[in-house]
Amino acid sequence: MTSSITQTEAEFILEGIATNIRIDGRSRLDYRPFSIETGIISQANGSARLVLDATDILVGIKVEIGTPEPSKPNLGKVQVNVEICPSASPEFEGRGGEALNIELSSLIQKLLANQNALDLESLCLVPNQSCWVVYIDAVVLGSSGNLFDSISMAMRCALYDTKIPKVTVLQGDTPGDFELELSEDPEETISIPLLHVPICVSLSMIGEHFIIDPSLEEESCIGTRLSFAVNQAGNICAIQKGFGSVTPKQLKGMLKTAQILGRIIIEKLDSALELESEYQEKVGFFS
Amino acid sequence: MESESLDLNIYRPERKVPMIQNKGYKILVPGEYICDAADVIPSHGTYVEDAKLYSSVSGVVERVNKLICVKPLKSRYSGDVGDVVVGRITSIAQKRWKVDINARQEAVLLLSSINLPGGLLRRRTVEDQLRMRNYFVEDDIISAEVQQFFQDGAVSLHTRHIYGKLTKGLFVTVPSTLVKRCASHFYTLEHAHVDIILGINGYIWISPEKKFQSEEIVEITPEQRLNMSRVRNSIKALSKVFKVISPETITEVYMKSLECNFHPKHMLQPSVIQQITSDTDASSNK
Repeated sequence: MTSSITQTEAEFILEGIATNIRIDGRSRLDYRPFSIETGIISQANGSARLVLDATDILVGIKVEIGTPEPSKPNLGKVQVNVEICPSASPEFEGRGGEALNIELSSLIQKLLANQNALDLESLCLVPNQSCWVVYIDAVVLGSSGNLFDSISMAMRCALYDTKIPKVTVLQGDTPGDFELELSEDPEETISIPLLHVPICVSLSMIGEHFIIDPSLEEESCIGTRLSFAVNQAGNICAIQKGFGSVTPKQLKGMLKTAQILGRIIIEKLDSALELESEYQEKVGFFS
Repeated sequence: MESESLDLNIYRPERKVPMIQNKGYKILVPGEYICDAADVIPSHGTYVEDAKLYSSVSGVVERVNKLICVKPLKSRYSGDVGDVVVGRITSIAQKRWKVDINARQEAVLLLSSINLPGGLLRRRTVEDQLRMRNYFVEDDIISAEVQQFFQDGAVSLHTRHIYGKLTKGLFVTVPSTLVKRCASHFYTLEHAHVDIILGINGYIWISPEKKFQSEEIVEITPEQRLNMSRVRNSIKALSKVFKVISPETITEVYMKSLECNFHPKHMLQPSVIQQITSDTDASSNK
């Protein structure tokens, strides 16, 4: 999603980034302040809302019992869907946002749906027969740049909030036949461990330097964008190239920066989530 | 290698509190009762049902003798002749440009309404039509004055005299209702050495100070850049708390931020915004 700007505006932004003073005074690796809130959708197993300037991301997580893949009988399933609300911008009216929807969904699916990110083995209830299927749905209600990173952070918040009902597996009448008993107690739940869940850190190249968290105007000046999936330990789990090209030397620098930034962001995000979960009163959509 | 410091501020969303309390005027919501429809002339923003007058928009009541209208808090810009606006060229058509000025329709900038070299009274020729791109291209930002209205509500602009293309600067958008009409719309913020153009349509242009009319800005120093970003964040802070945007209020917020020693990038945080705009008077909200 881009806004159109003139040549001179783009030059101004370029020169600003070269001197490390962006149009709102941030330096190249500064994030805009954002708010997070979890547990705002009572019907979902987990939910979160992230508001960064005009970027507004709402994530809802539902878990259902389904059958595992025949090729992976011991693993649960994760299904990610990202949708950009047509009211976010006129260019997303009707089918305008479809290409971006697919790009976002596939990137997030790559980040989360592999075995190492979410502990899919623990989601399996009866091998070959039943497992938990986690449906993660993200809606983009507004955009002011930096969609990839915001969506991944909002998803991490929603996963933190997710409570899966406790299930006991009972032996059925015939051998090989199992029955699942869902716990009646709403307090008896299990959470999803976030240890290996990565977040997306997108580094955008404008001129000779790269920045993090671009605003809408800055996004129109981007030459190259690389998105890195980084986990809590600072390991890089996946890399996706948005567009453009980099030299090997630049790539090395970007990898190092992404690792460091990812670790810091996850640390701050987790501590904010801990603080936030202590609040009983939810603001929801009245903020 | 980049410095690895990361400034990251995560805050909790706050429940919005009513911003205008006991100021002598009331904010209406759509469907709210105003008065009985007898003896009054209903105007914009109202409707009559069962001989009673109701508001159809969120806004403030304005009463002139028998005429009652409700002025909405946030609406598209609707022009008046003589208004100074900042706009962005969207397309080039036959002998005219189409300009986005945050109104319900795109404004029109006729070829005959701009300054062409060769004198004011020069006739526009066919070559001029073909060379329109030399003057303004799509996405260019211009300052202009509203010349006239068309019947369908579209506005016609002119860029003679002091108006024209704007280069080397920052573009900011705010709700158009926050910018009031005043004598001049071109200001220099003395302390910041920054020029601003407050378009009544809610589009604002920030540029480094031009001491002489024809001076070409070659290099912008880091201090100037920081000043411009501080002005930009002051304007955005005022629009976040929905207070009037005028040179006085911008200067107030700017000076307060300097007093409290905030770096421009910290002026994006809601707590800081509250602090630096707390002294600014909101009474001229309508």
